[in-house]
Amino acid sequence: MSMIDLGRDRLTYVALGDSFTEGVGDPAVREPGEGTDAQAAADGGLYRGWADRFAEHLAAHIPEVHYANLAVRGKLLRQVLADQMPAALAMRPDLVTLCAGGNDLLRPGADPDLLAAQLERAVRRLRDQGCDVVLFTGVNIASGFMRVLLGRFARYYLNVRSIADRTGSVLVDQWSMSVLRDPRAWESDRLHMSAEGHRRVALRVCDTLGVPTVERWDEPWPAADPVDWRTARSADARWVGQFLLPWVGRRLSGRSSGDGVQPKRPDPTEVRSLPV
Amino acid sequence: MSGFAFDRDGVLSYVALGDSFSEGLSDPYPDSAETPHGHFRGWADRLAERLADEVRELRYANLAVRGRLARQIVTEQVPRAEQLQPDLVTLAAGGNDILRPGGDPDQIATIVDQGISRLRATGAHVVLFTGIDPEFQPVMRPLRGKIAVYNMHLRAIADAHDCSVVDLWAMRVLGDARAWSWDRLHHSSEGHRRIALRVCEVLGVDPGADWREPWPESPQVAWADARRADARWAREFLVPWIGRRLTGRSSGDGVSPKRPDLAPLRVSG
Repeated sequence: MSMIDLGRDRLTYVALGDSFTEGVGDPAVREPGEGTDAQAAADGGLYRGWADRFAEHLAAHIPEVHYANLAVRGKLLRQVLADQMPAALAMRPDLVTLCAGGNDLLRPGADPDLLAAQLERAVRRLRDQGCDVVLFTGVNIASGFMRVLLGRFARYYLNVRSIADRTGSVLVDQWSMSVLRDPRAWESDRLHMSAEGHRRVALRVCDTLGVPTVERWDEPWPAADPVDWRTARSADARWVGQFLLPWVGRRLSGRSSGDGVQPKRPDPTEVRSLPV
Repeated sequence: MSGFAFDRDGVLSYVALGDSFSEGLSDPYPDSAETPHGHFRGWADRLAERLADEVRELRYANLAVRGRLARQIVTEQVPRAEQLQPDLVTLAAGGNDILRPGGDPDQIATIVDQGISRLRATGAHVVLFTGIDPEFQPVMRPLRGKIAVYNMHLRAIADAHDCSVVDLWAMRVLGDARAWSWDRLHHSSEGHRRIALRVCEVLGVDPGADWREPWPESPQVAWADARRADARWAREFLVPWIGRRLTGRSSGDGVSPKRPDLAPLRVSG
């Protein structure tokens, strides 16, 4: 399968994964009186993200789209598979997006081949059930602190591509999306995408699956103000204090950003289409 | 990735571009020992033989030469392929670049991308190859990440230009020592045979056998024998290879393409 059948009346879509699929970095727009985004984030957070956006695009073409999102930030691949897969299989979805492994790869000693083998078993279970599966590679982070891990990530992504080939799954290749290498596609934590990044990913998923959209994922960014060296370095220092050190602290103490966080949309519920 | 369609009652032309991998090292023909620089069959000749069974006439050229870098393949072989206007092109390039210290996968991919654009502009169906995962090869293991980055670029190039991909990275069966010649850098005849089967599969041509077929049980190699083999390999292959790199020479200096023109392939036997 490479294109989704838009002639159908009804589609059940389940999103599985970690913070990327949960939508961290892309706060949900809240109704007046519902509190602030910051407060919502502190409460466990309500994020929109590329998966919600993609579901909305689907709903613009298919009368009934039922959508569940079981993704939870910080989850390792084995947690995604253990916590989210049984529920997903029980929903008998038509379409599943599955993106996980990034949190594993950031840890010392991570093995991209072992991770890929776990992922492939899960994909085969979904495919055996007749479900269409969408897999993802990640952005080619050719600069910054991720550079040293690039080869490890590339090995995992390459394995994911091979899995997609072997299982007849759809592959969304973020690696080749050079628009996502712009800092504006990322949050200040440099680990999660901004709302704009999520918007473009959703458009790319639509493009890959043949869902028509008005906007384009590869639209060039507007010209950016050049950032002077001092501002860039003070931003680096803020990032180390606000994000890197707490992240290292969580790793050392065995905690996760997702501890106690529940899936934001645990059951398939109908999606309202985007107002055109 | 679109399928490869061809007319069984017509003429099919095929051009192989690349380095030693596509030239066919080390899958020697019986006359190889008596031929200057050797005479190799390789997966590309094997693929051509298989294709010749499928069509009225197969015309085949192989411009690949051992040791060639991506830039040489794109500047020397691609223009010739453009003149030949074949229906099918296979291109495997970048391996020699990646092995060099400082070889930059981003730069190599940019060069290959230019070559692919030109080939696709002729209307040819193009087949690309990812590089092998050297997990089984201790000397090369540190290059895994670099090869993976290059492969990710290659796969994106294949997507962008609608090329077929032979994903050698995923062919775990090639991790067996029996898929390799003694120099540990080139495939054995059996390795080439399996790769040819895989290329057939990708092109939608019945390969007639399964490239995944498990290797027969192999006798355990004694530790001392394994170390002797390591020493021989280092002496006879690794040291000369490093020497060539240091002096800017290549194994392909003075070697010409084995099959420079499109000519009908006659299948013996």
